[in-house]
Amino acid sequence: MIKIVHVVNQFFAGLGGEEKASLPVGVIEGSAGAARGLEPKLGDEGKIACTVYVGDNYFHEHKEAALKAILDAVRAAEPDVLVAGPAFNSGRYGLSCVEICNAVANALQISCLTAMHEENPGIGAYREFVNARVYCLPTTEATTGMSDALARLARFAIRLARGEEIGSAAKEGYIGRGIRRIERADRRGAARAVEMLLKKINGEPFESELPMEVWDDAPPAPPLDHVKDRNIAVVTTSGVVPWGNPDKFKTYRNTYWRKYNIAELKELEPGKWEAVHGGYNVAYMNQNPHYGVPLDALRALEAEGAIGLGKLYPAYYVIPGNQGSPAVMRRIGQEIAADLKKDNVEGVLFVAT
Amino acid sequence: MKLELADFPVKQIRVGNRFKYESEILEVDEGELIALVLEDTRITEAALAVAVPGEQTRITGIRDIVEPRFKVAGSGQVFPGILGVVENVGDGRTHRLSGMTVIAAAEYEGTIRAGTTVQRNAILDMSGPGAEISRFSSCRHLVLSFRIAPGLGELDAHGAIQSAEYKVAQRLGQVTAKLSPVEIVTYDLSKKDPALPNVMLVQGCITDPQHVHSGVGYYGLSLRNSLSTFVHPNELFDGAVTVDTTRSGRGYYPTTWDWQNHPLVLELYAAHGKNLNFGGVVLQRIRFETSHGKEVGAQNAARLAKAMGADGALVTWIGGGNAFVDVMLTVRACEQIGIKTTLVTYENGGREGKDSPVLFYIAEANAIVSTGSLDKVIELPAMDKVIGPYEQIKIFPFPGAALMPARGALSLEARDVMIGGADIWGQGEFRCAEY
Repeated sequence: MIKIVHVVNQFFAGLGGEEKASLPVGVIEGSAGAARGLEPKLGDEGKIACTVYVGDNYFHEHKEAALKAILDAVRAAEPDVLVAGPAFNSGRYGLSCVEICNAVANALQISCLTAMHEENPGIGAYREFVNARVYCLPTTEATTGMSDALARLARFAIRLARGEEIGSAAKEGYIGRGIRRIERADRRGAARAVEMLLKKINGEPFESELPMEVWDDAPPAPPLDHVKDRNIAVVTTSGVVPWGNPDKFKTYRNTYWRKYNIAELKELEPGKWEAVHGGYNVAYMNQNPHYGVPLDALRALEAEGAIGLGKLYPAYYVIPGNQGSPAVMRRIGQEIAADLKKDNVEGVLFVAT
Repeated sequence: MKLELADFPVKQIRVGNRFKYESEILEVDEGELIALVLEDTRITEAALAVAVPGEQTRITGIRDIVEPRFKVAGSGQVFPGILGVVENVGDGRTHRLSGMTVIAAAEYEGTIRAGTTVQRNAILDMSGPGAEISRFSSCRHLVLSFRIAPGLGELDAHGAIQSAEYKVAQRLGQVTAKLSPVEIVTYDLSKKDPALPNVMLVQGCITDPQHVHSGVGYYGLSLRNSLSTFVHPNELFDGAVTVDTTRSGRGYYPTTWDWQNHPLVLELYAAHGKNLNFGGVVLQRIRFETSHGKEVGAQNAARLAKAMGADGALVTWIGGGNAFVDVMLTVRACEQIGIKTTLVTYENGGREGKDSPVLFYIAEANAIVSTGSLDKVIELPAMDKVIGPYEQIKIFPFPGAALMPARGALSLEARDVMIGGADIWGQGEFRCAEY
């Protein structure tokens, strides 16, 4: 018998509407309220161990406490799967369902399942978490689709609890999380390409196998005033490192950064430094490492007084940027920024390649 | 231009002391082939071995893979400009030994320590999870394993490797010169149906113009900063477009075999006269180093396709990194002048598939065929037998990278080191789907 914990808001627990939105986390044995319909859909295969409820406002106003209380309740019930919602088009509820699923999946390493309308703001959070243990099924906008949603949740929850292999979002009907996995199609790629192109030319419907993404914009920082009074550092993705590659950087897909001391140096002497990078022809960089770390120019600016004496950070930061995964590079950027901040660096010369 | 490809399938390769093709069995004269390879004084040692699908074999030091072919009619010879003079190819009749390849497996460390032009070589497993992902594990291979004189520069090393493998491939094709094929397929684009749309293949090629070999050879000449050029697909069948053998040994680069058997060319040919008129190939240099260069390159490719009468184009590429910007700009340029496109590309996306699958997006790229991902982790078990020059291999081409026993289990964080490890042109069924 599969054991499920069902998480709902105060309304679906049957405790009241907006006036009860500040209710803290509570636990009811078995199923409860309007969400009671889930248990019969499980048939003989599963039961609801308990229903955990939380007020819509309480969750968002006391997130840390709410998540802790929910985690404690779920942990105590030892479920095979957690089901949250369905939240339909209720924004606060949808968001809390997704956040609870994400937190429980991470803490207890169990599959978590929710359901909501595709325009629920919770979907944005769901896609941002990219949690392989969390699934969300689409529902109607209004609660008229309750019975159907509960039936699909029940079926999916049973499959998750059994550890069945879950196929792609398109095949299984859940909302995609942006996780790309390899599968085999029914025909080779070249044949699919000709077919897709003919459909496009003939004005027939077709489905791209790789949807376009919208990327974050990184607005440039405002210019730094009084540069000569500022602490300045060099950060580079050029992959210029001491000759011999002491930290064993790879030429691509690196996952860590290093900083190398330049405090006593006037320049980077060729033969003592080399570029470890798979994305450009490194011959020129090896002949003149200043293309990656322009220490010669910085020392000249120091001599001129354009950079204050002692204001150039004594080390430069480096990672070979080639084929860096955006997620890793985001982390690397945050780590380097934190390190710079700790040492009161105010401006960075970022040298890309 | 009309080319007949005459098929001689090979189900078994025997290394012996004569050349013979009968009942799909190819017997090769070991002494003569070794002597042929050693004619080049840059090659100091050579050996032959056979690798068969399903056996516990790992091949190391792979530089290139080529299908044996030999021209029996029409002008020129296979691999024009490399094996012989520059002469038109793509017409007449060419024999092919299908189902088998020649693998060039050579030891070479190179003079370049890192960067785009560093030497690369790959492995191939004939069974297990590695075999499942590579399009080459289902062929029989004659592995030409050799050593080249120490100290050779990259261009010399490439010349030695390439002429050795091509000479052997041509010699094997020649075995069938007087025999009747099992099947003849005729490739001819001269008849067009005005009621059908005209479709071209726009083939982007990353090149390193500053390197001694840019990465893509056209009649043996390196494609450098050139603008797009038109290639008849039959020219590809005869080996007019080739690779840099010191760098093509990696999972997401084509081998010579891939150029000879380009799946998009073959599929467009299959649809020719039925659903479309195949208009040929635009060979486009990509990875221009400035935004200006990328725009000029992209729009030039689109204009050439337009001038050739294209209504639609399959757009695909070779390479990685910022070369993909050139590819996407080409898609946009095509769409803007009225050529409908479908892009065929592999993905990255990180080991868990949670990162962005490609590095540049434009709204016009609304029809994409995914051929899978380069970034997936793969665990290779130990193998009983190692063929090739290396008993120990480097998984990564960086200075100071550790050597691993080639026979042992290998944990690969991506598929670069496996030849055919990533599908690039839709040869197989792999794709990525959203989960």
